[in-house]
Amino acid sequence: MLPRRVIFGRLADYFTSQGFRPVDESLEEGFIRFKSGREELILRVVDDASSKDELLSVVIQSAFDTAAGKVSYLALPVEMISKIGDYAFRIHRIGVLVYDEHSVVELVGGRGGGRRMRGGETALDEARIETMLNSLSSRIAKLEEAVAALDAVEELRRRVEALERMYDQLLRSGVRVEEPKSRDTTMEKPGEAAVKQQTPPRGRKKEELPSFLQDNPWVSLLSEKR
Amino acid sequence: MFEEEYKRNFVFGCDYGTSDFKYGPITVGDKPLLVENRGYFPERSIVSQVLGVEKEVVVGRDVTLFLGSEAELATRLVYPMRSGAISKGDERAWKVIKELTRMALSEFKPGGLGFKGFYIVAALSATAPRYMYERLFTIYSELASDEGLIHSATIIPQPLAVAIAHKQTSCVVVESGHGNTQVAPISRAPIRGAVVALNRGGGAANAITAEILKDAGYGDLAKEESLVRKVKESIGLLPLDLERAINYARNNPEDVKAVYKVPGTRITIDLGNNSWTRFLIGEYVFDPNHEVFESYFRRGMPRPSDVKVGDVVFYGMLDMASTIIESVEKCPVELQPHLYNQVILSGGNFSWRTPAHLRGIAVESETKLTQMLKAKGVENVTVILSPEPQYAVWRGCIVFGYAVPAGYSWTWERMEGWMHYRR
Repeated sequence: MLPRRVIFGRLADYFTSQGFRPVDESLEEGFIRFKSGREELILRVVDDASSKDELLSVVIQSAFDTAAGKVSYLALPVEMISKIGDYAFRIHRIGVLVYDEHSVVELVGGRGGGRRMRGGETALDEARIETMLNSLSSRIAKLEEAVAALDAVEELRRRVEALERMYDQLLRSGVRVEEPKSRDTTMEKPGEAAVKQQTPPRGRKKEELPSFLQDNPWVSLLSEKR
Repeated sequence: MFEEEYKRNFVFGCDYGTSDFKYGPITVGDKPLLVENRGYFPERSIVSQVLGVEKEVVVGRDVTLFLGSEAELATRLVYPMRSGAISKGDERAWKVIKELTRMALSEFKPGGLGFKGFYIVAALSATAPRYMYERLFTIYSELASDEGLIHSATIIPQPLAVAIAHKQTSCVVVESGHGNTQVAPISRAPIRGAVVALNRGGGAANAITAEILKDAGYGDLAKEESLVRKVKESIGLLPLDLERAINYARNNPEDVKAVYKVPGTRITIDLGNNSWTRFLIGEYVFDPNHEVFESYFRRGMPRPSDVKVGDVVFYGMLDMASTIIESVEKCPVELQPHLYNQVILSGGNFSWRTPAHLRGIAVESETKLTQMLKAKGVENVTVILSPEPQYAVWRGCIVFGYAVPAGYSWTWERMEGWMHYRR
């Protein structure tokens, strides 16, 4: 088993070769903190002597670091990764380095898929932008729902007016029309109204049918199926 | 009435192709979304559980997150479809299909009140056995009850969808995929008893291309499937008449010289004196019976064999024109002229280059097939190539879902109608 100091030295060399400089480290607590410009990277190290509890503790700390917008890496002995897999790290964007006696290999990138933005902007900025976009999307969706509801009310009003006009015309032309028991019975049922208020997904109106539907002889053919 | 209005807003098409899964609702526009039809089964570990990652299979764009760890790809990356079919007991393949469907529907599930689930129209190969229909309906039932994603579902054969997308009510659809080719006559409905299938598709053209590369001294590159496919697409030609094309190539070697530079590398493939063999690539898909192919079979290239999948025989060596004739002649005589009058070719397997200086020697699929059918005595043939074959099936699904009344229920006798999961 490699001494912990040797492991730390190799891992520090790995990130130093990529333009980071170590600013803080603790052999006992098992981490090295690096900086490159405004970007900060925390590397937590697990070795062969670490217990399962220690491994889980380090994983949880790394997840907290990532959730806080920091760039977080975990270094593990190569034989350990084959036991725990790398799926969870990829999903949570925790970088993973694996090492053995001879080399250090980056198995999972932890810095926004390796993409850098201009200047000193980092994955932290990307996360913030993503949050803002999510927030905006949510507000737009709510607005679209509100507009759709207004459209539905307007449509109902238009239909009622049309029915009233037809009714009046029939009366004027002398046709005997039985008085409806209640105007309410001409209204849609609550469930049906809810359907009308529903915004179609990705909001295209029915009138704007795709070209492959227009003048398609199959439409009348299939609609006769009983 | 309101049910019809609802349905027409929430029709959702799913085309389960061998390579790609195309999906989207009626509101998405003229083109569906597309992801590879595959799933990745990540290793499950205590760390995954601690981090709250519980997915058994990852599908869609997320799969690319895992492609770095190549060592385990062979066992963890699953392509569920093989020649348009999934084995009955292939549980991992069915899990991929379920997860892809869930992903597709969730992506378009609207917020707000009133959503009662999508009317999903799925398309399967015309040769898909009944158990695939049953299993797919079971998956839809689970997605309907667990997550309310589906109101009703139906499944249609892919050739019917192609005919619908092309607005043809009487036609023959020739759908050629990677592993096989299906010929399906349509007359206001699929004529199920007349479907004839070939055990040849794009994969067969790849196989002959690999042999050609080996003979030209590029045996090491012939092992890389994606490269072989690119070589096929770049240098492969479809001859109007193979004998004539070979003679032309021998007399005009410079005209048919085949050189392919692999983009982004230093590798250049030059077929040199063997450049005439580029005509074999297209010919093999349409007719593998020429004696020149015998030398490849003798040297170890597998001869396409007849195989039976369910009740359908996939012919290995039947040429394309004979396959169409066999299919059409299973239909009433009165109908046959109408079918020959509209033959629709669908699938990337029918797209062949036709260099201007080889006009009349190398041709497109429509010309080749028309010529082959005429040689067998079929007159008044019209063959068209689907302009956007990759989207045709999805479009047909959307039209079908839009038009078929919501009250038309599924029956296994007719193999059509809506399977309702919610009223």
